[in-house]
Amino acid sequence: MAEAPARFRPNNLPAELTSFVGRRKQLSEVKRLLTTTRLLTLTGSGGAGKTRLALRAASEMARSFPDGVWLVSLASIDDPQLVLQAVFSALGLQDMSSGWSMSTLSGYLATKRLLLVLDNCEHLLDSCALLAVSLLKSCPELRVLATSRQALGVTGETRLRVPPLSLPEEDERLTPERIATYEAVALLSDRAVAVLPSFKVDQANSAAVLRLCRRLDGMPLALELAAVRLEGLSLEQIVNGLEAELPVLAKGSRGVEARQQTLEATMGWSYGLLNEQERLLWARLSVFSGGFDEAAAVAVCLGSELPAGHFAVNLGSLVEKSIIQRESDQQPARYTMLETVRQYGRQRLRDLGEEVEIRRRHRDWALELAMQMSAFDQRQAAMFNLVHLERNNIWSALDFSLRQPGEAAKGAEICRHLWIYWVTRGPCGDARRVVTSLLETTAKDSLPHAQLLWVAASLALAQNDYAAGQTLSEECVALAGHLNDPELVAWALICLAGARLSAGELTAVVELAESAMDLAEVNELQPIVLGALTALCVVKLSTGDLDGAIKLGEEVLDLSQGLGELWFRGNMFNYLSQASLQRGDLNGAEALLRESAACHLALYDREGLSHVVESLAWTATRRAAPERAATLLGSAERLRESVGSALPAFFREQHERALSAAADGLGEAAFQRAVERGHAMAVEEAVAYAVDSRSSTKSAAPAQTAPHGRLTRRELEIARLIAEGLTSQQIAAKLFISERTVTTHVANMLNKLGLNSRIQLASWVAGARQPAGPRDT
Amino acid sequence: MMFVVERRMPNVSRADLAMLQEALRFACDRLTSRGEPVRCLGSTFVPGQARLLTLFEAGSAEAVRTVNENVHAPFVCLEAAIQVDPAPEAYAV
Repeated sequence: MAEAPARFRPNNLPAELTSFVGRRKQLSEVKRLLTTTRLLTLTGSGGAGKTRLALRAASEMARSFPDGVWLVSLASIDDPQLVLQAVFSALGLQDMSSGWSMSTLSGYLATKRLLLVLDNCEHLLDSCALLAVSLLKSCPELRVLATSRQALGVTGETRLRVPPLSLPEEDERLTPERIATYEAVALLSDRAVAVLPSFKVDQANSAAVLRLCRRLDGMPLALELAAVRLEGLSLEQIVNGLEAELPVLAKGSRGVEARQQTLEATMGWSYGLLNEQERLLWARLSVFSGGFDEAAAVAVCLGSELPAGHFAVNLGSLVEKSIIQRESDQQPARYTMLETVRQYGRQRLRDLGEEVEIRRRHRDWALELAMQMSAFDQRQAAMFNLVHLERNNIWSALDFSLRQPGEAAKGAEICRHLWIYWVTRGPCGDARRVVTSLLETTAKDSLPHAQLLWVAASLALAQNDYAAGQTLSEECVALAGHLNDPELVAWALICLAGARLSAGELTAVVELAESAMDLAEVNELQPIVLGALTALCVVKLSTGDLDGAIKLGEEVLDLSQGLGELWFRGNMFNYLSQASLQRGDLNGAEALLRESAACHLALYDREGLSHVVESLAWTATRRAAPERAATLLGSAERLRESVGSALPAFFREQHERALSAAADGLGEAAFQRAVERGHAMAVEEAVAYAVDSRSSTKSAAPAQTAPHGRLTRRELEIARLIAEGLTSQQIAAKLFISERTVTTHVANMLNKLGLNSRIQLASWVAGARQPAGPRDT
Repeated sequence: MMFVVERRMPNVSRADLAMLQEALRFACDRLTSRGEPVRCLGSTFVPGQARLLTLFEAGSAEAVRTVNENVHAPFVCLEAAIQVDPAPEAYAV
């Protein structure tokens, strides 16, 4: 296959915020070694510049890896069990697998020619070693570039030590111009110019520059921390200050341990130069894992010693002094801290005796964030994205709840609110592990225990582990009933209905869903009403009562729209499309599937999207469009692979039928090409292709269309909004659907009514010429 | 001392189980080489319940926990275990 330019290669490498200085020799060595070894580990002390070198090499090597170069940043992960999820996340995958996640990942990577950059492995050495060995063994085209203070220590590993930046020998007599060519001096100058534009290595300061660079052992991070201080201090003041922190320095070649001491001393010196509030802020911010925004920092760090009035100033000051970094592409602004700097801050927090209290505040902030997930309103999509962004902070908060005696109850509460996110985006396996551990630490007759039973049941069902789902739901119903918590009882009844549905026990499902509905109505719990109605609708679909299913489905859509949520709505559009399909209404089914896709895409629910794309493949088959069908079948397969899920059993028959029809229609070679084309599509590309109404209606056979002059409820709604003068964009925003979907509905309406323009449509609405009658989809 | 670790592994294949077993041995060897002896004595899979039971011999439960936390396969419990040997003379005729 011809190689595309590097810029088109998929990757998640961050943009470089500062210039890359020196390292020409090491860079070329890393690139050379990556062509001959499958596991290369860059070793060296903290702050030596391993990450920067790895990222630059990965970026320059991108051309050689058709399936991309992917950075897995492990700095903010403390739990070895979360390493695998970090890889899933870096690759843009969602782990919804019911099997072993490692096997899912190996399966996904098995045929990929890809470079994985495992950054900051030192605190998770065993876990990373096992990951690297397992993946390299089962994925022949995979290469791994690791950075770590220590080598992974596995067979086949090539190690490359990252030395300090180059410096002239002590006794060399050099001109300032020559001195400036050494890497350490070049870096110091580059960073100094950013704060002191007139800075230049010249005859007057060259000795002091060299003394500072030698004092800092040519360590990039130490040089950067010192350089930003040149705005207010002279070179001599910086050197003197550093010597006070680290008085004993040996001459000549110094080892890793000594360089580590230099770095710590530099951080100690930087810490000492800050005012008291800035020092406290550095220490407190160290509880964040994976970054934070200002609002989060305020929630966790504010106090009488850190008043609100000076907070932004202190935060900005830490950015100026390179203690924290402001990410350039985030809105609101997001801040990160290098792991070495974070660890230093954490130690100071311990010294201050504040670690437990600030971690508790951090956990409480995570709980506040999680609670918004239970709202089932128009914030849902934004909340899903926020939880994804803050995932490392949430895992850290859960870890605190698990390990700190007496804190499990709030951990249970976080889990209770996050269930919907986990069953949609995963990782189900890890979430279930944490929930199970929390279950062991909560009293068996307590509310937190009941909450955890329900979340565990939901996760078990999401993993198709129906037996466990049933047992856990039953336990939850009994305990929550005993504790008189009707909301929890109702949710557990819905779970139980899901478990019984899998066993085909439809009468039981109806009884359970109706019981949940009774509780929900009495207690005004609308999300539970949505769950109960959905379960009842699925039963109607299963028994062939299409009118009944559509009636219930419309109730769900109305209620969902009133709330503004998307989760139940996305699933319901999909169920209703099945009813349309059973009636032979291809246009109606496709319109509903497009609505479903918009909801699932907003929540980035890949499993939901895979169902939509699969269903659109079936409609393409029925339209005698085999190429589109084969392409969509390939895309659906790729989506399933990217979440580690299998084709649902109840899809199998239609799936097989679509496969053989597409293969018969195209011939084997063309069929394979179309499937591969679909399989190669990225998520957004696949969804855009799937919902493109122009390609879906290109068919050899006429589709069965709805009777003219009869609009669906959604079409009528859009028609009325058009009559009110709203644009497609405004309608899309109001109804929380895509603009493309609005356009499709308008086209369908014009077609059904025999009209030519939106103006005619508006006049038609004004004339109230819509005949009464049931919806036709 | 002996310990049993239990995992729920629905939808797992024979190849997955073999891969996991290999990973457990690898993790045991690494910990043992650092002076904390742990040995994986073998696993039994109960397909009907999707349960995988793995037996370890180790100096402490903590060592067994460390090994199992590093193999990227969540476990539901870790318990001390006792090996029961048959007493042939009891059935001697």
